[in-house]
Amino acid sequence: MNPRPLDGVRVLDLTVVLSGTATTATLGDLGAEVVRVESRRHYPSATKGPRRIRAEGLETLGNTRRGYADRHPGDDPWNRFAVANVNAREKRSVTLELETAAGRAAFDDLVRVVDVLAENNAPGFLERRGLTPDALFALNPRLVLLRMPGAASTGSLAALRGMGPAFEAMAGLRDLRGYPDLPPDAQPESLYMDATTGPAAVAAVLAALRRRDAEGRGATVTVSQMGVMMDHATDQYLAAQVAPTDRPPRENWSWTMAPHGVYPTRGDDEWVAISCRDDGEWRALHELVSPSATAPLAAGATLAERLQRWDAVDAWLAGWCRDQTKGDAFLTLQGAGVAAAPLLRESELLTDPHMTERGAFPLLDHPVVGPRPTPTLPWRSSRWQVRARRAAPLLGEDNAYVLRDVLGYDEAAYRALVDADEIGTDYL
Amino acid sequence: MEWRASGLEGISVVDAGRDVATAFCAHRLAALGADVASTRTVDDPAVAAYSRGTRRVAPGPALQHALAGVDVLVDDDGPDAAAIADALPASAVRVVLTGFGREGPYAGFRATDLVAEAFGGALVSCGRADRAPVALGGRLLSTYLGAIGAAAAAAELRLAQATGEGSVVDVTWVDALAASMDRRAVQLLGCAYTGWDAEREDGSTPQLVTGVFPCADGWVYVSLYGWHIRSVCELIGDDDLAPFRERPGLALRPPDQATFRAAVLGWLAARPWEDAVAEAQAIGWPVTPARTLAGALDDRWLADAGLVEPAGDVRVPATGIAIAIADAGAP
Repeated sequence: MNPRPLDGVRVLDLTVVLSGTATTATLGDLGAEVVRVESRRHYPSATKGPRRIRAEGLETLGNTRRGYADRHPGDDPWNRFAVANVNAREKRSVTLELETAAGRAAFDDLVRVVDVLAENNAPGFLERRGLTPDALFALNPRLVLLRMPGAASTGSLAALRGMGPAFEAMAGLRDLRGYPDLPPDAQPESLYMDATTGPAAVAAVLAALRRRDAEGRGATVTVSQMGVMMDHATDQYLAAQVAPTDRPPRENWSWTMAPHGVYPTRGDDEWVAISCRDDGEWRALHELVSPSATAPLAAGATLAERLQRWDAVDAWLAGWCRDQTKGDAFLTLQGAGVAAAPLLRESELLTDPHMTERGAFPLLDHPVVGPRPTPTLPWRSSRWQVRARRAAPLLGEDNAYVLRDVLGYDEAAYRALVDADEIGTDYL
Repeated sequence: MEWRASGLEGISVVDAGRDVATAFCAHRLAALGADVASTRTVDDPAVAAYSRGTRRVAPGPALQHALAGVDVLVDDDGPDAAAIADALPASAVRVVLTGFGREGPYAGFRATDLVAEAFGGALVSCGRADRAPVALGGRLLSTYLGAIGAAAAAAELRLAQATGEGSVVDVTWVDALAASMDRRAVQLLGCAYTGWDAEREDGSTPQLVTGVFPCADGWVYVSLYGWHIRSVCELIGDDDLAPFRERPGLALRPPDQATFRAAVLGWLAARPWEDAVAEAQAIGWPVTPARTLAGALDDRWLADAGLVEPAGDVRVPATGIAIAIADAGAP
């Protein structure tokens, strides 16, 4: 088997919710052994759903709140919930309490044998438990401590509580998604920040490991989730300072591409997205659609002309799309040299031939849920097989491995932790 | 706080791409200490925004010289890419950023931010059920693709430097969005678990008070979960909320949500944003200001945290990444 980039690296995972857990999942995809520390006393409902929930009525819940395997929470809903399991692939689960003497001692032992400690908890989470950076580096001077605050680790922003959408609103990113004719309180949710943290944190950890390997000293890596997200929009912040942008006439608008939008196709709530990036793609689109209906503009129309007559161009293009399936429209448009794609639902993407051939969703065999296609590391390397291998563990599934095999605790020490309810496979 | 990072010193990167994604990829690697050169003449303001620390290397002998010692080439499989790649040393990593990738039935298909979000992303379930799906605007998905490319480059570099053997990395928009934490990956596994597809909201989903709401002098973003109900009732002190103080679960029932929601919105409407944020955050209730893009640049909290910094006559976001060696303690 080809080596993976992080073979031999061990990560201690204290992350929560989505952005942090996605970061450590990616480190696992890259070959690191990720040991996830979970408390049996503090139930993480943000990622594992309600402690008790009934199967009846799941379908009425929101998109991310109803993902229990086979539509049934079972007796152990925390092990069956997609929100938690998607980012628990390639991880080991150990239950430890940071607030008890025995749990803390085991945790300190783990800090001594890992390369990376990752966390994105509420401000002061580590410090309140005496786990200051100095204390952690005293345990392990080669440690890379990854911290991912919502906004900042110090100053006024450090104390600000919120999830991704709250920081997006504060950063102004809601300006970039929405319906121009609706007020702010009627706009759809923006969910971008959680996506941007992981890639930044993974790259930063790899850089810090490179430096540590060269110099022998660990480091504190701070990734401001809000800061990284704003960095992704630098061009928009610059544009906002140069001149106020005109209000777009409709959603999905572009000032540099036209036509540019989503158009209904044959079927119920079926759509195709079409973008003409330049005059050449407009000519190709014109040649394809004109035989069906007279175009409102010539094949040689410029971007400025297409923007000015956008409503007539949209009506003309929408007429053509209505007679196609989204799949046919996609292949026909791409065949003609126009950027286009169907709007795919999850069930369609999971079975799409392109994604299947690229191995985007390997079947991971979960101990309770069984084999399911699972999103994983989103790139392909010529050097190694980029495929997740292990589905999410059950709560505490790796207690024996971590405490006995990794830390070398003997049977008596391990049994004492079990008997004291320090470790286990359910919540207290 | 200074947002400065290091670790990739001595790493040479050439950006041979044509659009925002490769420029952002190179920008991220530069933020981590790499030395970056680009083959293009920048005339697109969006590309220029991510090229501030990039040197220009002209085609011809200068490029050939740069490529001879390069560690990472970033490109988008453009017309010149194959020739440039041929000049790479065996230890170099080539990161290729495209819409649909270099393999698979749709290899080489054209893509834009919108098109990629339609296929790989969650576009179909974004927006209101009674309207067209609504995409993320700007070039946010281009920069996201670039960020994935930078993570891939850093990972493959580690392998290349350990073995002396480089690699070619195929990074696509559609793969990146399918694995994205904007909820698409969660919803994909949710579908694999249940068979249910995500839907655009039609207003029937039970909601407490989450989203942007008006206050006395602007807008705030409010997140309100079940565990906040009791303390929010105590903060607001409205008589109508007395039943929810005793039995917080009532506020989750659709018939009672309207009462609870009206009281919360009334409390917000009576306060300037600064007071609403301060009072709510003091009890652990996440209420934050909602700004425009331009307004965010004027935010003093962001300025104090160093997340906005001057760049000539304008202000730009900082990179948001800091790396401090261990004996310096926390940054």
